[in-house]
Amino acid sequence: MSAPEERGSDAGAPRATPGSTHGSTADATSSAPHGAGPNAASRGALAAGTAHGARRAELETLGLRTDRARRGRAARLAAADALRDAAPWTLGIALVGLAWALVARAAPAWPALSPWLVLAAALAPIAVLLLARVTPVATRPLDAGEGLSRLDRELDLHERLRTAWELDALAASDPFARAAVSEGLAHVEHAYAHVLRPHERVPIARRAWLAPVAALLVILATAWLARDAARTDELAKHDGALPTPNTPRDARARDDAAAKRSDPPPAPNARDARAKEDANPRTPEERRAQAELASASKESTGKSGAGRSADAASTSSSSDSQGLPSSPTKPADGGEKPKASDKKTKPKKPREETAPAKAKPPQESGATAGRGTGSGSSKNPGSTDWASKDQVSNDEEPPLAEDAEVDDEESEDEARGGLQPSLRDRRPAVNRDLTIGFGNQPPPPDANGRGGPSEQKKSRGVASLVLGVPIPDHVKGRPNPGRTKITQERVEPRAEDALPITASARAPRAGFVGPLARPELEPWMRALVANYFLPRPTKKP
Amino acid sequence: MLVGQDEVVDGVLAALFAGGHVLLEGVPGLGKTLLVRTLGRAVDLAFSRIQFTPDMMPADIQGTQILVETEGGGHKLEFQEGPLIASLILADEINRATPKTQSALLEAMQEKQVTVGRRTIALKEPYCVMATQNPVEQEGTYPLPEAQLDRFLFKLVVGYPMESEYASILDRTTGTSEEDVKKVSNGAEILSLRQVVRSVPVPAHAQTHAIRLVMATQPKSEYAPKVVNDMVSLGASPRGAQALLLGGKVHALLAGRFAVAEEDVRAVAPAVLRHRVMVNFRAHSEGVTAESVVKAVLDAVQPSGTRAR
Repeated sequence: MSAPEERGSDAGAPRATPGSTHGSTADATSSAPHGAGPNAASRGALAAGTAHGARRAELETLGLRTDRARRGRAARLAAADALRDAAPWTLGIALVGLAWALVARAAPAWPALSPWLVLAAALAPIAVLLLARVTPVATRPLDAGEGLSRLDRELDLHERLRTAWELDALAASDPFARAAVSEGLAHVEHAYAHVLRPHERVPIARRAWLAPVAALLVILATAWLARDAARTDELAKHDGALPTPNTPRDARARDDAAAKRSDPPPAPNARDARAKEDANPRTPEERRAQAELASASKESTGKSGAGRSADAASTSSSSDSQGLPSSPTKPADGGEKPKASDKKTKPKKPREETAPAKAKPPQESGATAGRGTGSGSSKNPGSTDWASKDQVSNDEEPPLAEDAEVDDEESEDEARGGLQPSLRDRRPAVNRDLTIGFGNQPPPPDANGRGGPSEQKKSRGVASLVLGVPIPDHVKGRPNPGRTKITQERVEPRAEDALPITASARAPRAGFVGPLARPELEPWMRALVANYFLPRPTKKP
Repeated sequence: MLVGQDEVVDGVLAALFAGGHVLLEGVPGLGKTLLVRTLGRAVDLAFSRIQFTPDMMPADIQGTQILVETEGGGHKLEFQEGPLIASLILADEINRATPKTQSALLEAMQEKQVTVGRRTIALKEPYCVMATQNPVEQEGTYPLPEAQLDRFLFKLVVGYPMESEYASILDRTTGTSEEDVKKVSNGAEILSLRQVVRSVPVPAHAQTHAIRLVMATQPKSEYAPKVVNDMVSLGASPRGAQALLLGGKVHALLAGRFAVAEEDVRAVAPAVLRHRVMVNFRAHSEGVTAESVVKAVLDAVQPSGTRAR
């Protein structure tokens, strides 16, 4: 069944075109004789039919207009709903952008976000929800019947307009249908004058605007932060000297650079000279990179001499090993930074080009730990007593900064997915010292001529499967019944409280009632009884 | 004669003009029998009353052959018509009879004829059965079969009168005055009114609305709300849709309109659908009645022009 509300007026609905005649008018014109000119009655009927058709066309137009207004209102409602639902997401994204900008402002290594990107991301939920909700409503085909029903409801016409529209389209000829059509058409002019009620305007709560406005403010703040950072960078790029410390980051960078320039050159060797050169860059770009690196390596300067970090000095006292950094997050030697960063700019991945200072520290730490020579932490298995005996402590050993080894470490780290190397690789090698003591020197405490202490030997092969202790699988003899435990307690008898039983509560006797049968005794038993009882009264105590 | 109960009176008249039967349900003492008896006196129709009892047999209401004595002293079998053969039937306390006797009304209500043995008696139009019943929760009642319930156009629930109506009831029933009921109509007039009712056109949107209402009472249908899917075991049949439109036509005429509107269909929907919806055991256990199911159906199937978007 094709319901009228399911077919749009734009579709091929059985509608008469405006100006056509139907109903009583059609009957009147068809009753005129063919070939004769229209007489006065038919002319009047034709005129009435024309007016009738015009009014019916107005009825359909009225329905379409109402449904169009209804569709527009529904679209506005959908837009309001979409705005309300998308506002928290917009605000959240804007806050994330602001947090990102703040972090980027505090940490120069953090990549800065474009405010336009934040704006686009914040507006994306609104755009998506608007598209998803408003489009189906706004593109709904118009339906004159629905519009007329709405108008009937607005005007309390009890569906007279829609009934007239439908019955007129059917060209029903029964009197009830004609009366219904006429009754509906009589309300067309009144319906045209009707305007949608004021309360039909789309209500959008004020709270719905709060989140978008707040998001807009946050986005503006983000843009201001980003603009400020961009201005600082531009000044640093164009000026030869450090920029004016108008921001905390600039002030800190300037202080760090000044501290580095004021440090005396303590290293007499070539490495220190090269570090000195690195600490005093010539160009502004180098100065700026130096300032950023100085801010990144916070505690390396001024706390430990000769390139030893504070962490290394505090943890390497027991093993007396070289104080190369044991912490993977802090660089040990600030003087080697520029060189390392230059090395790191070579690699193939663009990720490392963007943040060389960030990727440097864990790589350097991994290189030292993997070789087992420069670990400053006593927690390292390679720094036990036996390991330290085999290791040669040499302060003069140059730092392990060869290019090839660094590349190998890089490839090893990449093979492990950038994770920390496995601790199994740090296990000390088995000592092959076979001495049991020589001359006056006392032997090592664990010296047995079989090498140093190693892990516990594990048997392998078939021998490990043979049981050393035979286990009986059967028991000879009679099974033991087990111990018998007897517990004796000496308890004084106690009187129990018992209520006397009334006579009425006693049950009737269930046994035999009557004279007891006297058993006939055997002669020998009778004699025995007589011999027992008869002498007793004669006995005197 | 009857104080208050306007909706019940309108429903009874609508059923009479629509050509259907009415089932009146209410506790004893609310005027159900008085209403039907007064209607029988107001219209010039053959009126009969059947007081259903548990020991009543089908032959008691349909009629049976009895042995009568002839003038010559002989005997012959003669068919004695039962009270069912009339135009306006008051089946009082119909659910006090056994289902066997209740089912004797099926043929008369639907096909307007009574078959006893080899004899088939056509009933005269207008034929209308107005039955009263006590709520099925009462003692000594037998619920009507679904097939017979479906044959009633309306099921009207007679409630307690309002406080303002009590005084009038007491004045009329405890005094010495007797109300005189005049005949205001007859069978021919009722038949012509039925033709008028059937001439009322039904627009397509109102018909669609009636169909959707009936389908919404059927579990697992396209328009069924959740409560129907969960609580209903048997929904309304196409006969329910017919009853909706017939009742809607009468309602539209009574409202002064020339065509049925959706609001007419919705107005008669509770009376039409409440006895055609059979709720399941879960509904009984949770206190969900057919009345609430019909209300949920009306809420689920909204008329045109009320959609927000």
